[in-house]
Amino acid sequence: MTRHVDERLIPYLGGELAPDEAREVQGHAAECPACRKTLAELERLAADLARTVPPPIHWGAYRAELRDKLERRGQARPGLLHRWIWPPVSVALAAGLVAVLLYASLPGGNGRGPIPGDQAAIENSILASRLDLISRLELVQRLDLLEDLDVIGGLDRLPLRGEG
Amino acid sequence: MDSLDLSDEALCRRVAGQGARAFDLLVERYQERAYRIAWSILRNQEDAKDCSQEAFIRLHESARTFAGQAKFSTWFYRILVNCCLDHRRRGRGWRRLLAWRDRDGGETADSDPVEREPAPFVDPGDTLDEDRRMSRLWKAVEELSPQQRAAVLLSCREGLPTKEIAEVLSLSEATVRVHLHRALIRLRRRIGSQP
Repeated sequence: MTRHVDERLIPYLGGELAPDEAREVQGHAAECPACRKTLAELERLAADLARTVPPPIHWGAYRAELRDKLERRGQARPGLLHRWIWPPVSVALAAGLVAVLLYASLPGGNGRGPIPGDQAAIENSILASRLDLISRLELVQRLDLLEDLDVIGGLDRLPLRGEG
Repeated sequence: MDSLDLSDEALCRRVAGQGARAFDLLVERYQERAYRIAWSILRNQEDAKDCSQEAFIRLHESARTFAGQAKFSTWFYRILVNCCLDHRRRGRGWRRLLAWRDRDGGETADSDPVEREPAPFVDPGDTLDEDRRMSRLWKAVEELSPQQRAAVLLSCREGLPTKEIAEVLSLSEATVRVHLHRALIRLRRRIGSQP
């Protein structure tokens, strides 16, 4: 007779053994009264556990109660249901907050309004964007050189020292 | 595609995207299983109803965290079993206190959990002996450790394979096999030799 298969009886009952192993357990149980008895008892035990049914319940009332609980939970914790119900409001609030923070972080911000120099810089940047100059930033950064070029180009026209 | 045709996993993703209809459908698909599992673990109708509903509420709240790596059913059973085991842990202190009060007050606290239930078995063919056997069986189930009890019930009543039970209980498959083996052998010893 092959060795006892106690530890494999439960996986066997659950249908979780490979076909070869299952055949081995079957073969052993056929010739071993002790394992056969254990197998029968475990089988009955599993069947008994499976056939017990809970008291009946009214599913319509169950779902209505669940909806009430969900709603109450949402009211008690606004972060949950309100997150589902009011996303546009929360997005608008967040956008407003970001705008205020950005405004406050601008030079001359903090609600005091831009100082004149900053105002000019802002106007320049607006003008530059309209003129599509920002896309040619390298050129813009060298405009001072162009100014120098004007000076250089007009050197011959500069009055000589001592001339009226 | 009609919501009715969608898989559980697809419905769960819709719940994450605020799909009220998807949530209703998941509840309808799982309400009986959820209540049955909760009742198996808790052995009380009201507690089973509350815990299974709590599991659905947690599903609603955390649908976004469902990664889709496990089956939806496995993920949901894990929520459900945790709800039930939490409930038992919370209730243990109160039950002890009430049992102590009843003992001192002269009230008979029936120690048999099945006897406390109004009508746990609906099979009309059950004989008195059979009822007694079932009472002993469920009393023995109550005495198992929470994880052994959950493993046995998920295996024998819900037909879950060891791998899925391991995922539900966050244990290794080997540990689940040990739990199942010890639990069933213990139950067998308690009632197996009796008629």
